[in-house]
Amino acid sequence: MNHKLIATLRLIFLLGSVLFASLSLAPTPSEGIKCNEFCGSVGPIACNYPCRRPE
Amino acid sequence: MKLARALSLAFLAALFLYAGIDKAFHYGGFVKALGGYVVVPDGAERFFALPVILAELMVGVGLLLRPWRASAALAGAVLLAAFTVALAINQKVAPGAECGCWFTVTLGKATPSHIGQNLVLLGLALSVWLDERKGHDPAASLQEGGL
Repeated sequence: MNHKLIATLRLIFLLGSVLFASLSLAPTPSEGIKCNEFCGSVGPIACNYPCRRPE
Repeated sequence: MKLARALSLAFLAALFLYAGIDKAFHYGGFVKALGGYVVVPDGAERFFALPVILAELMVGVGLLLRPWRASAALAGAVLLAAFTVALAINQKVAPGAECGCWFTVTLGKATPSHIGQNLVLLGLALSVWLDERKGHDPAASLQEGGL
């Protein structure tokens, strides 16, 4: 395959990946996530964000 | 272009290493998240968890080592394709299941955007593989300048 085509595709995919990564790291609503079930084994980081440990 | 190549490799390697290390440190939670996937038979999640983590770590390390780079990129693409299929099936059969993507950072529901994200990453891994596979050709390597 053409080297320039591969390089261009790679650049497009790289920019897309960075964009998606930024979007998925942005705060999201926590509704519906079963924090009680998850937090027991996942630990405090996951419990605090995006879902919160019940008071 | 050389910078884009280096950034692509670094991004993919960091992504796989982070994903593997994060899951290893939160193993129990990852097993639970894996259990939420329709394609994983009931009770089999504990047998899939360790191979998935090891595969991610090996891909991450392999991308950093020149002789392993092409194979690691291809293995990464295969992993991403498998994750994408699993996510897509979950989205169809059990929408609202936990994703387990970016594990402890954004523990949340799987959404169509996660599938899109995986497809873009799959494209990146494939383009790195195509480039690295060609990199074994000395003339092409000289032209590119190597990494």
